[in-house]
Amino acid sequence: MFGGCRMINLTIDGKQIKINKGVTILKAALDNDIYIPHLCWDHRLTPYGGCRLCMVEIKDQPRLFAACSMPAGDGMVVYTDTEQLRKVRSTVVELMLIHHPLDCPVCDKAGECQLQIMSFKYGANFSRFKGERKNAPEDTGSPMISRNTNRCVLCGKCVRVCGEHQGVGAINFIGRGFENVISPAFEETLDCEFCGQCVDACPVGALGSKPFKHRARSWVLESYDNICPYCSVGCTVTLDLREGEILRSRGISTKGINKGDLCGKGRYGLDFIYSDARLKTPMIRVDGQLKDVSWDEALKYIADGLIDIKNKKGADRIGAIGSPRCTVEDNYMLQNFMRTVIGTNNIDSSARFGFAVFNQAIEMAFGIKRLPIEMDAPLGKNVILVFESDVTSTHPVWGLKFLEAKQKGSKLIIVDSRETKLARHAHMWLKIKPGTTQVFIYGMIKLAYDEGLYIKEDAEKIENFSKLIELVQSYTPELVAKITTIDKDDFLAAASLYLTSTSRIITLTIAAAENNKGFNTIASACDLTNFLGDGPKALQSPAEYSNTFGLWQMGIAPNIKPGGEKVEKPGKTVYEMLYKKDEIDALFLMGEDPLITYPDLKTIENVISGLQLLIVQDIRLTETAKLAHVVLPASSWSEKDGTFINSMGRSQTVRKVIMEKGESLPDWQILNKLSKVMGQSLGIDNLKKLQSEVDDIRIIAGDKRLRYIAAPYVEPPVTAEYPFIMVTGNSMQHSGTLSVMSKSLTHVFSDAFIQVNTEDALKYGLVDGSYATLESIKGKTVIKIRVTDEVSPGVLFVPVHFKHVRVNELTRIAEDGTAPLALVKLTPIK
Amino acid sequence: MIGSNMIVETESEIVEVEEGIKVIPAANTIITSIDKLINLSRASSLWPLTFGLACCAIEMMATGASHYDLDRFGIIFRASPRQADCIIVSGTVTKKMAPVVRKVYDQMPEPKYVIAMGSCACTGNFYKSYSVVQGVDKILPVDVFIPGCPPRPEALMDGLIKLQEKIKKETHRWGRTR
Amino acid sequence: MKKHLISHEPKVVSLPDEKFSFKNLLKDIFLTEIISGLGLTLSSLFKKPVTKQYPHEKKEAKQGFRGLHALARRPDTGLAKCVGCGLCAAICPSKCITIYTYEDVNHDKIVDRYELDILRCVFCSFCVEACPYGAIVMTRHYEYASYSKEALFMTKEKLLKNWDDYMSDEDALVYFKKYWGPREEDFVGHEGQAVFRNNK
Repeated sequence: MFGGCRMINLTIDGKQIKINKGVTILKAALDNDIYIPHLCWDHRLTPYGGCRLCMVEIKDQPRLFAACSMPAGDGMVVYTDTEQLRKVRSTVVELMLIHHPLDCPVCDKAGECQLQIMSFKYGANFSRFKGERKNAPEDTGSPMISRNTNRCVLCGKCVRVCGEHQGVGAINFIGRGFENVISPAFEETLDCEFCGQCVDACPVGALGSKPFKHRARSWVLESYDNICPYCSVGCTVTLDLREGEILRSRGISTKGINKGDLCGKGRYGLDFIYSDARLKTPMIRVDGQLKDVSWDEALKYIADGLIDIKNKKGADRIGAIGSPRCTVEDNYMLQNFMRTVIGTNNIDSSARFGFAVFNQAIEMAFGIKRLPIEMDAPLGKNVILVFESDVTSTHPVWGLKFLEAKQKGSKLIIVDSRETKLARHAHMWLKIKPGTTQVFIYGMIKLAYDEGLYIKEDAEKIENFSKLIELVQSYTPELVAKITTIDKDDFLAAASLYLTSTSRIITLTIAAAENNKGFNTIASACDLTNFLGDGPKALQSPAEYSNTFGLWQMGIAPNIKPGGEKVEKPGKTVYEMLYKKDEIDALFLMGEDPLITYPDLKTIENVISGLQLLIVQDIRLTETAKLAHVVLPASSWSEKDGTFINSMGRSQTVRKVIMEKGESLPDWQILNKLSKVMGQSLGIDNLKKLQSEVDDIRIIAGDKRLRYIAAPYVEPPVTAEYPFIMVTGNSMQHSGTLSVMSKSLTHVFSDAFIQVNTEDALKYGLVDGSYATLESIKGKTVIKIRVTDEVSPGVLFVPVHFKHVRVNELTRIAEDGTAPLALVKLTPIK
Repeated sequence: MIGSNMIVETESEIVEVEEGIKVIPAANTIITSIDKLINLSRASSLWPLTFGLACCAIEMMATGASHYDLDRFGIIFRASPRQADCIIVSGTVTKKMAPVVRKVYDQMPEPKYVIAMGSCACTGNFYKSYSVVQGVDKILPVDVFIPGCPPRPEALMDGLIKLQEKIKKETHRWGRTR
Repeated sequence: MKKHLISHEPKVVSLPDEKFSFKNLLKDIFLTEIISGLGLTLSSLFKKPVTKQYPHEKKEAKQGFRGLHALARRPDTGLAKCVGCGLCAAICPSKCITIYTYEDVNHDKIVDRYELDILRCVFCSFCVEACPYGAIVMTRHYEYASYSKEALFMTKEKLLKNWDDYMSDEDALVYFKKYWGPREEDFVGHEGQAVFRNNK
């Protein structure tokens, strides 16, 4: 990073400091616990020098310098608090206060407002200046962010965070002189991706969080750190509570791996725990209706049912599904319960559709059991190639690193059928036909082979070399262009850029919610990394949810034990348990809702309704729970202690900060109690015991033998009847079905929509905002149309979160490893 | 008392002068219940036990002095729990003092009443501390709360009058223990 | 048995002999001290009694007396002046004030609940001094003894009622202006100017 990295010495307020050359005085001071006041500086942004509060005196220099933009020099002697500086700062504050309204009593920022702090510290107690006061109405139209331009001190932090760091650019300075305000284009209501980064950045109360507005004063809040329950990045969120209720969450620049960055979900979506839909008591189905019962009754009912099935039909007729939203402890307990008390390996989770596929591929290709991503992986890479993945939506904070890398000079190539945020920032955006990434990659391998852009000895040493070369021979640029619908020259340009660069990474996500990638896709990406000799680290694929990584490590799979050891007799997978009739009689669901999130709902519904005993343990009454025989209320995130393992393989502690809802219990406790009722205690009395047991798990490393997988591309059948390819995925503001419980996030959007290209809309007579019937071989549903250019012609995109539009009724599963794309047709409703 | 063999003059009317107190002017007789009589006696000779624990006690002393003169109400401070009807807990009740307060209360003969004087005795005031009882009502059955830090003598007198009123409204309490 | 470390034998202290005088002898024979004492008592008979006949004769509280709290009403709308800034709750030494606010349909800050536990209150009037709008005041009312704790747990409605009961008459308003008057004047400089403290 620092080419000629050299240490320099300087003195700040009499303290000797040794720092890297090129670091500003402000950064050097803050790193060494010397506070220089500042308003417009942020560690994530380039220096701006707008507020002039960080003025410092340098010895033997005639004038004052702004510490935020002045690089520290060798032998400098800096003073940060002198009489002259205090006078200057006092004047600066006085000038800022000319227009600033005195509505601190109703301003939510009061108490943590930087301007207020500066006024107390440096401000004069009267003003020498007469000035007009701004009296603009507050913009309260946006669902998340309220904008009060009267309070703005024009530090520009929000503008720069939004544009520079977040890559959105939703707000900017508008007007000149006194009329200068921060505003969205044409002074419209703010309608952006609602990450809320500007709210945290704002030093005054100009931009405020809407859900928190007027709820509490900042000084009555108690702060606790916790790990965000949404995606697998595992950001540290600082929760502010009043009287045991979480009112807001913030990112703090010194904490966690996110260093102050948060996405909209982490900032606004954590109120799902206060949803009205939360379960409070256990319920048993009596005469077709769910009735509230006591814990003892419910557990007795389950124990009797499970023992009965086990004795009469065998333990293999009982299955369980774990959840990537539950903690490591919960999942460990579930597999322990199933394997010890029930005596079966029939245990799986939604990771089967995503993370399991990825793990299968890396084990085959690299001989390793786990491949964590790195937070800073994109930084310092010459070329970053992203395949059909909306990283900024699924893993927003990690996605920011891609933008940062791009800003620092990396070439960003996005291969996607949709115009994602990264695509908008990319150097090259190749519009690929969904599900054909594999072809693109094989085309690249062929190109590298032909041009000799690989290390021959290393590549040939790897097993299956001839098989791979034989396979890729047919993928000429022409064929690639034909299958992927990418222009041949574009393909060649992108491929040669990637192949000729010295440091490079490939990124793709594979998840249950996404259906444009299958095992073949990931296998081909592994082949490419092996072929180019970049090593497994060049393939960055994050896990889906907060604890998908931990779930896998805890052995929530029919064929592996905790730690990755293979079991002798593998149990049934999700494919067998949920998609084949009469495979099991009892199913224990922990925190999963297959009837929304899993593909091919009709089949699952069929199978589930035929079960003898369906136990659902969840935080809310899910669609599956509505069919269950027993429903158990589980404590949610923040209501129990535990551990999440993020996609970087890092164990992070999740804390209990609020009381459990109703009679709900942590998942592991329910399972522990159940095992006791079934007469087989697991010997776990408290969380500490359980955690020490989890800590004792030996994680197995693979044989580290490289192989080429060389899976052939299988073209999905095309029918003229179903002209569209439907891609499912996560939208920017939602994550799975969990976020739908959040009141704030549903304010942004709560209705499912389907994105249709403008050309297609014209062709099929689809109008923006109207409703249409969406139909595939599997089923049909009614959905709202959103005409956009974000998707390519022939491609539709649907977010999968909403239960009232059962999109997954239309999707299919692909056990053969190909991308399980759904072919659909859209007919407008007249 | 009007017995069955007594001759009642039919012309004489019975006048209810107050609730529960009736007067027969012709017979020069007042009729009331035993309740009323006993309550009146109790209320009119309320002998409080001083329990000054902190600064509120100063106000309590002032109340007892001639300027406010509690003797007017028949209230005479007693120094022994055996002779007292009522305990004025005035001041901060620390956890160390709490058993003493309770013991003194237990030594008082029935019927007995409790006045919590001052915010400390009522709730512990700002001493949300390990060492302070958060309100004397945690250990004694308080009849009247008088907040204030400290309350004025008038406020204490108001509390005592309210206690008297409460006693006057009691029914069948006499002869019973709490 | 516990050994007594300190002996409890009484110490004999000899008082200094009083000087004999004829005057003292007379004092002892005729009990002049008692007579003069009784004389004082007798003289009180002819003085005006100092006792205030409390329930019938109520002493007016001195100006600035810190009695029961009240929430001031705005003269124009009749609603509470309080904006819910929470400064009173912040400064309260016994933390007996809790304010719950919310955002109403017009996006204004509305005080949902204003709770004051009189039983915890120190009557220090810091809340009144902290209030930038003169929204909370202390009345001259002191006869607030109560049979139950609940009656002394003040809600917004009860505090507004206190205002109506004890602060709405002319006399009280003068008193209010003088002692607990709103400080908002301090927050306005000349027309349109933003000043956070007037330097008068």
